[in-house]
Amino acid sequence: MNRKRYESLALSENGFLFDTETGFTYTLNETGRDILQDLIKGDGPQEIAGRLAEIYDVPAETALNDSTLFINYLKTINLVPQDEDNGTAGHE
Amino acid sequence: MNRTDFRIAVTGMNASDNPGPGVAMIRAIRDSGEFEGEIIGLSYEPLDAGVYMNGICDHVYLMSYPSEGSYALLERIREIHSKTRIDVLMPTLDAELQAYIAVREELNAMGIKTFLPTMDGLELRSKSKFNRLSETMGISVPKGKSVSDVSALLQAGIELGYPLMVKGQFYDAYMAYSHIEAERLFRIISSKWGLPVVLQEFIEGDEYDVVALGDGVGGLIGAVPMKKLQLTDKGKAWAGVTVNDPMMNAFVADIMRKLKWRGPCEFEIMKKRSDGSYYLIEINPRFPAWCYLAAGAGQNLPWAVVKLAMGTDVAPFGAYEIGMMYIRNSIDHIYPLGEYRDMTTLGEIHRKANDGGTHGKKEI
Amino acid sequence: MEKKRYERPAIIKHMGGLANKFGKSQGIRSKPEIDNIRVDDIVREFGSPVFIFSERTIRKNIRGAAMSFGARYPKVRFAWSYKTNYLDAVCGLFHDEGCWAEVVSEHEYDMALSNGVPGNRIIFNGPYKPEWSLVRAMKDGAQINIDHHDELMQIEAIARRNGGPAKAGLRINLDAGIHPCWDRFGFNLENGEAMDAARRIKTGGIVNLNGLHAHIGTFILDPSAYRAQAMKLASLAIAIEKELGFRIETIDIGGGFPSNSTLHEQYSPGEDSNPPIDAYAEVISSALLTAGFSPERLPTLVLETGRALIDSAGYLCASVVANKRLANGTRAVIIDAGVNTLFTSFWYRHNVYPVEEKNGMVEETVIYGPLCMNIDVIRPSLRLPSVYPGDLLVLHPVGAYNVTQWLQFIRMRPAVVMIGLDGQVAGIREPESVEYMKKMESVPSWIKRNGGAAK
Repeated sequence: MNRKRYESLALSENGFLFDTETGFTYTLNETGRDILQDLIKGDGPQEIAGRLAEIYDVPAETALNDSTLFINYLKTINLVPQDEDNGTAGHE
Repeated sequence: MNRTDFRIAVTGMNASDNPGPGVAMIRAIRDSGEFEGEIIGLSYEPLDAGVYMNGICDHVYLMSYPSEGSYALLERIREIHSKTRIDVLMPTLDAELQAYIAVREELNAMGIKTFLPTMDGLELRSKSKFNRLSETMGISVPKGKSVSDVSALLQAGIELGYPLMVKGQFYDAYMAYSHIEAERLFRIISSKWGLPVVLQEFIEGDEYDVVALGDGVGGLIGAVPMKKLQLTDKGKAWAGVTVNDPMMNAFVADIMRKLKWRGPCEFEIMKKRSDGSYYLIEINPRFPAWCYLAAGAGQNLPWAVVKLAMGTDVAPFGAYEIGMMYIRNSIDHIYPLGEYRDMTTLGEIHRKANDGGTHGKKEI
Repeated sequence: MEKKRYERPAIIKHMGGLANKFGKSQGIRSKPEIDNIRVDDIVREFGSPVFIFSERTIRKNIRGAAMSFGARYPKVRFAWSYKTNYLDAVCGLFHDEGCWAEVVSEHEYDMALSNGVPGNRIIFNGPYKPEWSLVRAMKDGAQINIDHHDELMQIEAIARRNGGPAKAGLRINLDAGIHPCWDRFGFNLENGEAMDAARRIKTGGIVNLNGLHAHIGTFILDPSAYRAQAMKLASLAIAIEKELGFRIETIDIGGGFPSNSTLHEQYSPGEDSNPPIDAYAEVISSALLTAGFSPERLPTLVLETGRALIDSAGYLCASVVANKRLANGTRAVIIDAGVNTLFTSFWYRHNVYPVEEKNGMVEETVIYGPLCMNIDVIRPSLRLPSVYPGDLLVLHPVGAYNVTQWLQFIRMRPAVVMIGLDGQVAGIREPESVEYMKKMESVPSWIKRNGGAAK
């Protein structure tokens, strides 16, 4: 996987994202920011969902479903590499 | 009003080539020589230029659009007020006025003072009812018709004749030379500003704009007439000069006497070329973006509004300086991304200590 | 350690300033209760979606309107517009508040009778009244408003057959300064057709013309149109009385007042900008009072107000079925109530309230119904916080026209309940079933029902 894409994502603590490659800016909510931060760190979907369930009042299964969908969406808007693991492999 | 923690909130922070009045009003307030407090800019877009300009806002808050209604507005103001106490609030945009007037009592109960038109006044001058001012108040206005269905255009066109003006209920006015053109404009304007769309007889002549402030009982606190010297491609004034036409000034005073307008407004007046008669073609229920010219010409009307809101008597301005000119300009300012980040994620910016909410501090 | 409140992950691209997540309150009102009754309790008992009507609001609306007109004009009569909402429980409340019935078909006439309304308290309007229904209405003494010449001749023939005089009103269409001008119903005023019809009635010598009726349109936001209408009807009444000697006892101005709903093409929400009923009462009353009627011959003002009285009393509670992203990135939410249930979505921007309070980031969203039909759009665009399948949303105001115009298309029509003044909740219409719908059908014997099995 090409991790270079992540180097151009400047994500601030309050959820502001500046994509230095494209010039687009985004707002993420708290959980969205957490997930993207973890992706940038190199964590996989299982770890990310686990951490969400630890910090937030959410069942592990919902956390995994939501982060899978969210990572998929980040792919469709070209913020994360197409070959990023979104967690669906784990369901097979 | 000369307390350092006296705070005035102002809307209309867009400062493009079709600017809101906010920046001009803030500059006038700061120029009054009597203001030592802070300004809160209320902005609808994170990229409104007035938010970022030097020396304009001390605090900025992002608002939801006025089309969300008065409930959403009041909730947002309540929240802002709890963080950064507001003493006087000055809405500056047509589309938001109705909602602000609707919550005026609630604002007052929260300790936020305003000096706004009345709902009746707002209705009287609404573009869809404007043409009735001649029969109901004896004010000279062009013939007009408000149209809610495209099928009514044909008849209106016959009554008013071409060319005619096609106007949105809040903004936008275009000239149509034919029925086909009127129909196209009807669709464009109604999709943007809703129904009805207003058709107005075209008066050929010279247009003048007057920034004015009414006391609500028929008196004129001040009025400064301006002739546009240069227009943008959108037809907005880019440069203008104060003029002195005693007949027109009398016409303005007469309008104010009949209308009993309360608060800021702008009259658009047409002096008919053929016979020199005056027509009121539009009343905007707020100051225009060029209102800084009034302060420059000796009538600081924005500051007068602050005083009226605070219940201070304001003596009518007498004269103004004739031949005072303004020219807008556009220059690029350089900013780091940080404040834009705060606008989009937090919806607020603070350039001075923010310790003055109603939660943090007692009313003085 | 206490866990943080979870919010579904979300990201919004900044385009034209559409995105912001400032603060907690963004004008997203929640609606956990209607008349102090928990909405989720109602759904648990009656299912989702479910229409909920408030007796308190119905009574408040009709009393307010009656007060508003009654304070300004001495002789006022409200007739409940059946087509706006003809659920028996709803009609029952309006009749209990003193309303007559205004019906536009023989079926609605039947409903009014079965609701205990005597025929002489029914106003019978509309362009098609089958002969037998005219015979019945004339016998009952209902107020029939004649729509066209053919109907006038029919009524005269019936009266002659009965061997006695009959009474009727005329439906008039007129230019009240608004467009579209509804000229398909009744006799036109401006071109003289209306006066001609009155003369024709006089010549016939068997029908007594006793009322004038006009209905100028729907959701009319400019009260002054009613001033024009009332003035024109009053002048016509005076002219008819003078020339023909008929005594016009009622001037019926129809309906068309707006509720607090919001048309798609309105900029500000209806609850902020639509004129209150007082504004209509003021112009109509003053037009009639200054029209030149002698005080002892002042006609009764009849109002067939529907929408303005019932819309705000009706709620629809629906459940979120799914979230999705459209190909262009737009967020979409599917709910279990479609346009077959909420017909008025085509014209109105209904308010949407989450039943549970929702904080956090709001995003521009399109709300779709559950139908497998592209037109099934409940809100093309609104700002909505993140929701989960199973979350309840309340749509309001939806009391007018939906429970009459709804249809069983793909999905059945849901239950309707009423919250009484004392907080009792009762079902007033059961949810429909396939059995109920198929009860009307039969399959000819030559059609084999082999379920698609090969021959």
